[in-house]
Amino acid sequence: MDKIVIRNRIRELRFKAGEMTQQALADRVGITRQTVIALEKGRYYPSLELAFRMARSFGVPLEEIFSVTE
Amino acid sequence: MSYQEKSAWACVLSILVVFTPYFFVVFWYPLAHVGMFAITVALLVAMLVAFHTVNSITTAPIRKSGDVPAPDELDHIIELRAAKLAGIVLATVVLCWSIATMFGAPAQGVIAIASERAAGDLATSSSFAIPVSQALFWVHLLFAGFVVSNIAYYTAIVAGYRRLSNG
Repeated sequence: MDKIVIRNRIRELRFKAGEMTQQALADRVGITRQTVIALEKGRYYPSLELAFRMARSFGVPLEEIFSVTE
Repeated sequence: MSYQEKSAWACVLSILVVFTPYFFVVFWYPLAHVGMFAITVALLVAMLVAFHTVNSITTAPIRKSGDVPAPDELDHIIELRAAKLAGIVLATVVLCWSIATMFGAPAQGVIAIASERAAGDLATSSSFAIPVSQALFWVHLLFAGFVVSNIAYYTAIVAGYRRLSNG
């Protein structure tokens, strides 16, 4: 089975949301800043629950934040 | 560096600072030779108290430096992986210890009989008994295994956070 890579637009969406800081996003979704950094760098894939919380925080559908590339 | 990573570093250092001198003493200067088993036990209790004190002191500046963030799902995953590794280390250590004790302890008894015969004494079944110092050696070896698995746990946590930082 081919490994899939999940890309995200968290950094881009943060800046679109009034240059929201990593800490502000972390506080809004209930994670640490270090986890936000890991997510943005693609070193950690979030749980489904966290992904939905982020989508709700940015006010966008899930697929606008995360996309899959083969 | 996150609070959890700093805390793990502090734990690794505390364990090393407290238990390195302890094991150095009990392995190289077996106190049981001079019939001081009680002192060994008292020393162990003192070391455990010292461990918690040193750990508390080293992590105090971390706690005071700001609000301590609650661990999130990434922290839990790193902890779970570390616990899994520590479990494997502990199981391996206990298995190796069991095998080593099964063969090592009787071998020491045989050596005790041989040395009695060499000295011209009549060896009996009681000669097979190993000295208290040797028995304590095996006990401390097992205890060292528990400490090693603890070090593996905290080191794996540090490694988990380092991997995230450095890729």
